[in-house]
Amino acid sequence: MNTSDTQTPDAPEFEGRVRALLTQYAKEMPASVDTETRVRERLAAPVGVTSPERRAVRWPGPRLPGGWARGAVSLGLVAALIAGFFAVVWLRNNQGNGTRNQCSEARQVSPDGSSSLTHVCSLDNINVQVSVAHSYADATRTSLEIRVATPGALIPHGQPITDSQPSDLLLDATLNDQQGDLYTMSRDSLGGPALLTYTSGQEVATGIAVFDPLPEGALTAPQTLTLRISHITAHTMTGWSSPVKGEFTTTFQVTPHAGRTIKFNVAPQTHGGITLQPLQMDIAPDASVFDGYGGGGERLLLRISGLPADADAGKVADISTSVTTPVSSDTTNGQTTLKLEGQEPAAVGGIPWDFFQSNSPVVGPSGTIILAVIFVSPPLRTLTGTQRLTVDQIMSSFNGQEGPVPGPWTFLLPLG
Amino acid sequence: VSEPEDDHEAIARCLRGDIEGLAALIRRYEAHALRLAYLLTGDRFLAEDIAQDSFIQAYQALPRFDARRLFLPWFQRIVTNTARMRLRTAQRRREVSLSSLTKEEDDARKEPRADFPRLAREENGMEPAARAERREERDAIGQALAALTDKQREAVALRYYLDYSDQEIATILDCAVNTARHRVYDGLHALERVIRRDYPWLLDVAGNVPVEGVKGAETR
Repeated sequence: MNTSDTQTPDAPEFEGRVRALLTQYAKEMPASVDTETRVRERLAAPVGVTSPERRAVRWPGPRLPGGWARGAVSLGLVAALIAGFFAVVWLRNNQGNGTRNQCSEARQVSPDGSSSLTHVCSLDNINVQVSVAHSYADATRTSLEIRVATPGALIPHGQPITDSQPSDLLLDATLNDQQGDLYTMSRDSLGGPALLTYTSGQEVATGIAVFDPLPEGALTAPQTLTLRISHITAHTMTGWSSPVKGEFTTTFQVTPHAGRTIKFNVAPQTHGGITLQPLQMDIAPDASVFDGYGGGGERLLLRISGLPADADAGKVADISTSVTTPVSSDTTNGQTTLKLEGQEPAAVGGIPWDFFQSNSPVVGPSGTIILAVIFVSPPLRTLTGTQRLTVDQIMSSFNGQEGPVPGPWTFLLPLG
Repeated sequence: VSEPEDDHEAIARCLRGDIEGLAALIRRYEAHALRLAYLLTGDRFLAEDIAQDSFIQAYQALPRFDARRLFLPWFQRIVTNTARMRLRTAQRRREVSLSSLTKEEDDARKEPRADFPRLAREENGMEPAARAERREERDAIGQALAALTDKQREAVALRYYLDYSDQEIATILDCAVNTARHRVYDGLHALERVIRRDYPWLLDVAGNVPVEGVKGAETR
């Protein structure tokens, strides 16, 4: 056991205090709450049985108002049970030397008349089919509702609980357009990785994956995109299963929803040698879509110059708005904090726009980087009028040093 | 029925379908599970549920457990995964998270209850001022932890509460050693920024708190 392999310069004393604080905090949790009795009862009782006696023992005393926690747990268990059988077969196939990755193609016609090509990969005796059920694109995102179907693998009700109960499938996916541009999967509609979740009684896992938005020029005409999933991993309570490798691909058409594009003529501002200048804002249309974001939202192009050539581009692009934790209203947590009136509180995702393809780890000799700051958390709004944009600091890391360049940079943006 | 002498015997009993093997593991590692889950979620009720779920998951997964390895790191991986799943579920349902508890819910979850006899007894024996001070400290630590990302919090808890190395953290979190190292580093620095800015007085408190041997090594 050692604790010296992570070096934290100038912080050994702080590390010691963190140990003490965590120890103190953890001790607020009693060392025993009769877990043994409760686990015995749960293992002895049939799953799904919620007799009053069992309920009374398992949930002593009042829980939160509304009993939501109980409902959440019950729903989770039911969903996990439904998916259990599939997971066992899945994992068994995945570990063997079977015939997986034997893929064929099938053409599907969507309800809207568009045609898509779906690869069907056989995992021994189970077909895993990936398809795009719905798609949406605007200046802030391209959202897909992805379905992974496993015909014939529906768990029969009453199947015993197994040790592998997936509630999620994790996808490693990218989008390509016909020009060969690559769009990475940035988050699901709640900010996490793309996860597909089983629905009770079905043999289809569905979920929403959100990808980096199409460029400005592609928002005015229908686009043919190809979804490529390199592997699918089932998440169980005991960890992640070995991934089922594709490649699963499906091609589909999406008609982008064009909004407004406003090019700014705003003077740059400099603090500490770092110059910021808002260049453009793409405002998504105020239309209701399936992915939970709602309508609206913005993509702001922001030029940052005066950076050292070896500055970490990813660090500069690591931007957040004011964090809405109870800690405070402006926790920076080592990030640049950007506030746009009218969209607070909202998370943003910063993309190093001109490094979009090269994925360069550093800013480069120009010392300039253009970020696309995209508001990603619902509820989004369609902004109008003049709005104030404030960037409190720029976080950077170069020459092995890390630290903020303080601002603030403040701009008034005319949004029409 | 005799108490299993060690983890291996307890696991062997579990594999034979003897529930007493699991009971022995629960008695041995209940505090670990509860306190790790509490550090990861900041929620006592959730920590209880996570501990129960984790023991059941471990029991059911034991046939796949490599008996040549230590049980505790494997089990803590289950606790960490279960906590992650529960937090994610809570966040998806917009019902509860470290950062979204309403004041009323937050207070309800922090109040000592009848089934937390030790804590209730300790706090009842305190002067009102000392009790308030203790709660303020607890809230401040919880809120500082809430400012970390889930992954940072996991890494910080495993390093600074359970005293694991980067390699061990990587094993538990199922990630590369470098990733684990960065999570610890980033988490510690994020925690330092929050504490020094918002709760600098916590550092004085920490200076007076003895660090006890509650680490993972103690029971492995």
